[in-house]
Amino acid sequence: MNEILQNLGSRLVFFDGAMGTQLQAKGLPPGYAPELWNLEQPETIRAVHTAYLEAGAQVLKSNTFGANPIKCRELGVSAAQLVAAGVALAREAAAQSGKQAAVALDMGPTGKLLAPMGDLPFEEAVAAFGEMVEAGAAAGADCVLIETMSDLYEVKAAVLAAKERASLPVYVTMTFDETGKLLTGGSLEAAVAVLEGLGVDALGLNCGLGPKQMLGLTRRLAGLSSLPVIVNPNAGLPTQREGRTCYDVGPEEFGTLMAEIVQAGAQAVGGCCGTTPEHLAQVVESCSPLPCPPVPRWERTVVASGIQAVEFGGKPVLIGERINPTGKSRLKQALREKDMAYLLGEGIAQQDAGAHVLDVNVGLPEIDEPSLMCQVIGELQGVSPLPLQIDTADPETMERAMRLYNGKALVNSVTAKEASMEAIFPLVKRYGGVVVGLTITEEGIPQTAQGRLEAARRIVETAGRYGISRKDIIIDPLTMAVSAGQDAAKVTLEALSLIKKELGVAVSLGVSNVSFGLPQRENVTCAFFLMALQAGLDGAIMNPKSEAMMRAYRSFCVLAGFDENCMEYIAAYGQEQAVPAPKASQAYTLGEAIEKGLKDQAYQAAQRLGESCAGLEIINGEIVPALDRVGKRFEEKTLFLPQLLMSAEAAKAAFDAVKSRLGGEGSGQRGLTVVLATVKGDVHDIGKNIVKVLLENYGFPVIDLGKDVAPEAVLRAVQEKGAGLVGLSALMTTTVAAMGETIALLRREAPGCKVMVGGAVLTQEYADQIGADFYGPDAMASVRYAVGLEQG
Amino acid sequence: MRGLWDKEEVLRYLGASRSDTALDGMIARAQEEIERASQPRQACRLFPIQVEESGVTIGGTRLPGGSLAAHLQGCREAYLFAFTLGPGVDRVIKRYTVTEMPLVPVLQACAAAWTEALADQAQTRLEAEAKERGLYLRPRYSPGYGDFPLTAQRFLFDALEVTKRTGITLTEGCLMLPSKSITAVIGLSPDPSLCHVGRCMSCTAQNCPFRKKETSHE
Repeated sequence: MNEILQNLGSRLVFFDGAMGTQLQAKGLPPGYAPELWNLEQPETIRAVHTAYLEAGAQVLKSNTFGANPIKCRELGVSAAQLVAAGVALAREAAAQSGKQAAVALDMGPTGKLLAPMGDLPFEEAVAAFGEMVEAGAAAGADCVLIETMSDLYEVKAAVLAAKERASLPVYVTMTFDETGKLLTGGSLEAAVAVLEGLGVDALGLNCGLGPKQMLGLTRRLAGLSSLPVIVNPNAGLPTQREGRTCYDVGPEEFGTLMAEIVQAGAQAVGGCCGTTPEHLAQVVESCSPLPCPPVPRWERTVVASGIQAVEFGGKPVLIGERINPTGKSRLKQALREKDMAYLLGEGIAQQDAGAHVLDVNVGLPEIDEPSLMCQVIGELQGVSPLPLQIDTADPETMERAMRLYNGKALVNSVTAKEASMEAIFPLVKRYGGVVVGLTITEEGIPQTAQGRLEAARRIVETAGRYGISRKDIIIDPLTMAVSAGQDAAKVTLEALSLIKKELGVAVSLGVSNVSFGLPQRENVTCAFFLMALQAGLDGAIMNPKSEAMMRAYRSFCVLAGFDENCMEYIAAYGQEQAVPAPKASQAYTLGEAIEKGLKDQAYQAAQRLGESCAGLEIINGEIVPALDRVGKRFEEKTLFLPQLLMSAEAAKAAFDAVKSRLGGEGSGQRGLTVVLATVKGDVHDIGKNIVKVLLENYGFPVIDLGKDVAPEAVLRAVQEKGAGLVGLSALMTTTVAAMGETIALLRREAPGCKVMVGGAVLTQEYADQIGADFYGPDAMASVRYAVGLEQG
Repeated sequence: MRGLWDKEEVLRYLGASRSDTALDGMIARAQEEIERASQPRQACRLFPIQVEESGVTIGGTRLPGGSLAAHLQGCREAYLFAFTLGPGVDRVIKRYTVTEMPLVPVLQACAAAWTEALADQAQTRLEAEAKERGLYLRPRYSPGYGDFPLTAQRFLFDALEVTKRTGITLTEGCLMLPSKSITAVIGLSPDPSLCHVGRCMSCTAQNCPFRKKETSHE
């Protein structure tokens, strides 16, 4: 390794300053890709590097920030060519100077948002960064610097690419605001957890802020990171002066402030936007006399999503257990039907109930577990900021899920068996994670606390050989059913305390098992939960939707000093009424309840009716006419979209009540299946989702393909499901073309299928042009059309 | 912040001509959610421009579009401007799509109104800056308006370094994510008379469902 980089962490290292600012000063037109100058004006680029070397820079950032294959497609030049040229120019400048310097392959963001929130698939991002890394390494880069990142997910793609395509040191600096938040909302704590988990060699801050604003952040970072910290601020904040962008911190002030940043805990410093060789010379002058601050070693057990971190070892962490099919028939059904709405609803309900982490287990024998796990994780991370626990016994599922997961996951689980450890530990090392170790050996579950301690010890020691430190291990000494062994709970709790004391690791338990086989299980589970908390439990896999469990937990937090000023307890129970208010005595008819949009009342009314009427009679005689009345008022504009949707939800509750009475599969469902999609290239799906809710509540089976859907995918769904109607949505004029292509394909391959279209920019005229059968100006119109089609 | 809400705008985006107690309650909840989820960011930079008949040259790059040129007639400089409410708002809307669909159009309307209101507020600093130099701001003109093509986003994003400074990204089709984002060209003109064009009235999308009625304010 390059000698300068080898000393990073023990000797101060100086990065160079801004490249873009220098090139703009030399006439780079706005919007012109600076990397093109690697080919067009190599001497200019080399001169900038030389100026920084003369100012004392030891690490040169290659002029390759935006040279990723995704951006290069627009430029008509290969990324590899720009990267190779960029790295070579820095190399040449270093060689000519005769000074000791390292060249960093510089990589910035792709400019695209990763799927599922955006349209860049994770593996495509990995491949794009990979091309840069390969070209950079071949051209002689000494390290990879991933910088100006604002999305932890994209960072993960870049780091994996760097590690998989080369064996250079990897550094990551990200752009935070003054509060320590990334542009994507991710916290400093989450960033440190994820980057350390991925095994980068140094991390830090760059761009967005000046040195003044970064000082406090550097202090915070030094209090979290066990890796060397790099700080490359802008030359202050940008201001417009006489129509030009200037930065408000001059070289001398910049140097002085950077010395403070070193004292606050940075082991490497340099500059970003607006800094010049003069700035850097001042940095070198004022920082060189300072000692390099030591890199601290923090032993914190932290998991994270791309947004927030959760630490084990302080206030006990609640891991919601509800997304797990064991013993839950409704969840099994949802998994088989890929009913994402139900799964996501379970996740959000647990989050609202107070869970800190969500367990995700989708293991059913007849299911493609790896794909379903990846899908659920992606969708869940789109609606909940909570870190996830990936819970699977299948190594392939584990590997694919850990790779795709946005953050540093809780990994459930490894055992003390050789085969298990051989499968899981390399994954934890590669993707990062905190792994839950179950005290199970080749011989089974040890009967004594001492036996479980030994199993735990084997896990911790073996992990160490894979380079996984004990801070990334949580031991679960296993809860056994007390009905099957009188000492079961006692042994578990003894083992819990013993392991925590002897091995210094965090401990967790799945607490619900304890009451298996007993009546009124919650009584026993709650008592055991409290005993385990008292014995030092750091994490509990439990049901946060159990009010009794949450009362026990919140009370424990108050008594054990984890709830400052009892604030959380008061927030949860301060407003609670001693006696729940009696239910409104007024009982609405089913029709009234639907018209008023009252879900619970509609459900009850439908149940009451079900005692005397047949299901179809209720649907056709009550539910649909009530919905029609609401629809009519919507069309007359005496009632608006939110109320229409409330009525639709009330109707759905009534449908459910009728269905559950009949017990028959699909009873009350209409014969016309509808496929819905927002077309290729368009990412706006609110309108389509509204149409979906209404159609479903009118009893139509709806296949929702989501957004940005290719014509072929629409056709496939139509053919597979035998759909008679397709609804296409587009919000932008530019995506109406994709709508036309989809219709053309359907006409050719599925001529019997009708197509309706909608979206803000559409008109009847547009709809006619692209050959749609129907144009729906609003959600209700789509429903009317579907009803008409069905009735022929 | 509260004072920046314009309930009429929320109702307009919602397609509702009036409100009632229940809708008022939903709007209040949605406003609170949107305020909490917002992490506003902006970027702007001033560029010299040359206006021709069928396009505008900004800092050496020619942007096609007669409507943009007409809009910037008489300007020699323009701000490129980007603003976003941030990704939290999209997450909140996604979340309610799962748990409470009736609130979704209300959230959507509030987010749209809030984006406009905060972008207007972000612009006041530019207004003051311009005024010192005896100049006035034209209304924001965005890619996708008139014949100003959506693909011009790519230039705006590069010239203003939008992704790096605000976190806004572009899809293959040049749509912005987070979705509650605005990019625009804002002309600077010595003549204040052209600077109060109604947002809707200068747009050619006659059938737009959000188009204000001729009789309404503005």
